[in-house]
Amino acid sequence: MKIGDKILIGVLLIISLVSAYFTYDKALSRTGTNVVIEVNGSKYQELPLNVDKTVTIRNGRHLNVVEIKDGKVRMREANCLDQICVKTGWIEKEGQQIVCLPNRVVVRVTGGKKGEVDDIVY
Amino acid sequence: MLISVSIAGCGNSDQKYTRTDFMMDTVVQVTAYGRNAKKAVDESMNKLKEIDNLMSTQKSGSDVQKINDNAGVKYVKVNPETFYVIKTALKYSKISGGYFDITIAPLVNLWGIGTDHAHVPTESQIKDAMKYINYKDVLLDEKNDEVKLSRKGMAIDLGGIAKGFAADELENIMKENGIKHALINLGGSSVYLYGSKPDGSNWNIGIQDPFGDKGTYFAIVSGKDMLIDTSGNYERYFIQNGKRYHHILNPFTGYPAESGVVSTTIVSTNIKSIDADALSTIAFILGVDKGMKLVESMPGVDAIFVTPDYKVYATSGLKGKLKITDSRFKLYENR
Repeated sequence: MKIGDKILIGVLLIISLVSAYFTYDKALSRTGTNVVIEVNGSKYQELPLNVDKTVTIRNGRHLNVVEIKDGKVRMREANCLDQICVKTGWIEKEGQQIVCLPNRVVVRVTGGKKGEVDDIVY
Repeated sequence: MLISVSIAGCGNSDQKYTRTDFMMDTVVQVTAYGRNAKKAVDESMNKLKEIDNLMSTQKSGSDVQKINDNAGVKYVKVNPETFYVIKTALKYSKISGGYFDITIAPLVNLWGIGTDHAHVPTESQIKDAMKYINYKDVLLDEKNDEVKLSRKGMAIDLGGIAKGFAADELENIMKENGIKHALINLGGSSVYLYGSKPDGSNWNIGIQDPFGDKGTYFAIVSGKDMLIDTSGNYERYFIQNGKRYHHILNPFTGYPAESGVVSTTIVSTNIKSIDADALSTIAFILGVDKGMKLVESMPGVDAIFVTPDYKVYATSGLKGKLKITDSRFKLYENR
């Protein structure tokens, strides 16, 4: 082997290692993406974001329907007055959340893809 | 080799702990990082409950209820914290020439914005409620932490300032527990960035798009050891006959403030959260010109104003900290 070949092999090795690292890192965090549903400030359920599921929460007179589909989650239905939670739409990134203040339900995404922001001031 | 190092790095990274709860008439969320994260967050939640029990207008037995129940009757002994919050509120009433006024409660109750009985009151109802608004009629006995409203029918509401006070208290709890990184979000409108992010970088906080759905933002503010407090006409409102009525009432007109802004945001690394909470409301009622002048007169305090035509006015100190991410919005600095 010439010296150039050795350098080439070395460079390729480093590139593959680095890319393997990033791929692995991404896969690792992906699997950790969960949906946390909280009712009255306590954890109600924690579910994986990559498994489609619909959860109906009945808390006294309050009704909320949380839908997980295609790696996203939304409040499909709620019997609150303002409907802010339903209007929030789909969320999928870490740190995003849906709040139903009247019914005291919070849905948030933990782990996984990071959003551009850490929080939103409203 | 690289992989194993990265995993080890993850394992050693600071512990993160988050709690969300419904208090102070809103949603509160506290996240802390580090060995004492759970302890600090649990203590924070207890503190918030304590403050809520003292300063809520709804909770029976709260200091505020006691004061309101004894309006025009007698002085009421309150917790030193309640006293401090009321005293600070009165300071901002003076600074703002009465635009910020905790005695606005009778008017707030009349409109009922944010409740299921929100409606536009009659002209005479509004005039009647306005008779009871005057911060100068809140009498303080500094020696004994006693408060009296001078006339019957008066009432106070600390909703515009109690969350700011709470954020200051939580900051102390973080300090006591040796926490280096925390994110405190009280009601979504007050966000306190304690320290930096765990990796040492700045926190990035989106500012709500006043015209968009909740959770959409038009700009990002970056910083650490910083508080961000927003007031907007989209937070709580109702629509009657096609007109939108929001929750920030002008004590001089009796109607929702119409100063030509849809949202104001106070950003500061210098003042306490209690001050920022009051200032964001004041800036909203004063509008761009007067609000800007007031904020620029306070060192280390910055503000962002958004007008209905998507114009964004920011004070000079925000250069490099504020990034507009939605191209419909146009930034005007150094107005």
